[in-house]
Amino acid sequence: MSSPEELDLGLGLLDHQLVDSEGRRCGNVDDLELEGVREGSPRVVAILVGPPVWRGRGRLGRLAAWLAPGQTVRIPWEEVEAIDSAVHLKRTSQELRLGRGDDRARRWVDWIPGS
Amino acid sequence: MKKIFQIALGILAAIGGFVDIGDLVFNVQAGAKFGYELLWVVVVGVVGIIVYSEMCGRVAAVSKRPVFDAIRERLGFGVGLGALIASEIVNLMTLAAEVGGVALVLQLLSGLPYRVLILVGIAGLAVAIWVAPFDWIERIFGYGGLALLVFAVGAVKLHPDWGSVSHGFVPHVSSSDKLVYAYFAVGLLGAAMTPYEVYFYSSGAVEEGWTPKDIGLNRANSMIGYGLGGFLSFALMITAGALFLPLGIEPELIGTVALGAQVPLGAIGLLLALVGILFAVGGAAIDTCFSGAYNLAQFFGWEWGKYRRPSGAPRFTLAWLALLGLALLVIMSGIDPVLLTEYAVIFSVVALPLTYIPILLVANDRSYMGRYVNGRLANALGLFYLVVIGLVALSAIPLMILTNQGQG
Amino acid sequence: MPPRAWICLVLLVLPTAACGGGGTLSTKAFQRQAESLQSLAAEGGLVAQGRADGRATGTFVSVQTEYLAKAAGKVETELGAAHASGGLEQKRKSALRLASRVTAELGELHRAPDERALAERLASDLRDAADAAEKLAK
Repeated sequence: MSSPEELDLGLGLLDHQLVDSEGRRCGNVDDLELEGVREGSPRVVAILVGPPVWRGRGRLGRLAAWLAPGQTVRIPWEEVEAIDSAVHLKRTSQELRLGRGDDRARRWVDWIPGS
Repeated sequence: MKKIFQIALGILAAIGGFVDIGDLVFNVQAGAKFGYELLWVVVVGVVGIIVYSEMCGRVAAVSKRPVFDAIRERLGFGVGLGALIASEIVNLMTLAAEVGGVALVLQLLSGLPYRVLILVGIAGLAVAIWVAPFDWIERIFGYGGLALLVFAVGAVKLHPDWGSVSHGFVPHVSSSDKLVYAYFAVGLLGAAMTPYEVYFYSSGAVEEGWTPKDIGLNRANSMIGYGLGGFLSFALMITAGALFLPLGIEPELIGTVALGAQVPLGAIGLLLALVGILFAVGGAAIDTCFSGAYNLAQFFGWEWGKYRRPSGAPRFTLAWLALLGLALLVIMSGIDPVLLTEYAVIFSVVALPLTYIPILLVANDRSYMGRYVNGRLANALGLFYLVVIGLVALSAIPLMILTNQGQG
Repeated sequence: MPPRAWICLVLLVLPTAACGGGGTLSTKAFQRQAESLQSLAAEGGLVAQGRADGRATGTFVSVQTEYLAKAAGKVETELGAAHASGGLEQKRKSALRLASRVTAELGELHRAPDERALAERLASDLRDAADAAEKLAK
């Protein structure tokens, strides 16, 4: 029985969808920055997003990190509004510098008529 | 009243959508080789896809997460990425086979050169997806696929021995050619339990904002839709068993499938069969293409959605365009679509546990699903199919090699 | 491996290599070819009959027979390139003649899909060929 304050980081937070204040999907929780692990009271300090972060997620993760363009974005824990099936953020993806892959891709898609 | 009408429309569109090139090839080949003896396997496959897709739909309605979100969470990034790569390879093979199938049918209808029709087919699909609202696409391809019902009429007209047909629904092992029988059983299960259909279904559920209230209705919808898809599979197998087996015909061409409706029903049967195959396989191509894009977008957290404007989900859009482009290259290489279909179905069966197991785990997770967690029946069925899928995944490639793809 | 073993290996490999092309035909492989031939001829018979009765479109007949003819041609080439011994060699020669005949008739049907009388004759011929192939396969 877990109290409402506790959260299984592995299942309840890691790899979850990030959604900004406008409801826009802007990446997944690729890794977490923890503090106080050695003291026995771990706290999540920040969420890490981006291909370089995948290096810590296994052999295929390292390969993917090597192939994919992009930079790490660090989202301080204070930016999290709520957690349900997704992690909802307080600000827009623009302000948090997330979802830039979609912005880059949009420039290509906009070339095609009717988009 | 309106609700009933909507359900009926949904079911009608679904029937056409649940038969794809894998079903066409394997059901007809199985019927031509073993007559009605493998009908029971089709039933096992249809129940299996209903179980799998019901779980995915329930997970989508309760947790608002589609399949590949759940896969990444449960398997982690590394293993999940492996599952993604495997799924994308199978998706690409299936998509290329379906595009090839579309081109072959267009050739049988028009007489124009095959290679030209590949380009026409791909362009047609891309334009349809780009320009038409998705509900239109689903309806047009779904209703068009209904023309496949001609095979049910044809099967009856061929006067099969109904005693033997009913015996085929009882699970048994063939007395001759046991390995080849096993190969076709595996292929039929793989053709019935196509994962891309499930990814597509669950992504649609999330996009349409299903809530737990929708579970019952959509459970019924999918059961009836897949059930009727199974009925079409029976019709194909019975046709092949009644017409091809006695003559020793081994179907290796799409045209041979259509012949199964031409012989009992003449030119009308032939045309309806060709049109039905065109829309069923074309619709399946669109589903497969989107499914591949959904998986990528969901795994990496991009925006996605079939109802979105292309610029609203740019990476998703580029993903499905890229998949169509790759499929074009694969099929233009000259590989036989029917042969490619056989490989695609076998490989998809091998990859099936990777995507089935996480869903079974999530559907059993009370903290995720609340009171909609798997009940005893769902778990009994879920576990039964886990065993079936496991056995089938392990034996698929050995059987394919040992039987030289069913040729014995 | 000692030199004697190498010589044995070479002596075993050389004859098969020297045969070129298809190599030796086993009973099973021949059976497969005969079954394929039966299948193609039988299907050709159905298609031809459909045309003769006016129950199949000319386009369908033309396209389908092209694919069938190509497949039959492949059987013909493979049977021609292979060789067998004893009774099987007799059968192979019969099958080769049959394959040539089937390929030619499918080709005829492909080139003239609209002639009903021709289609009727070809249908009957192809059915006979299928029966002959079935006997050879047994």
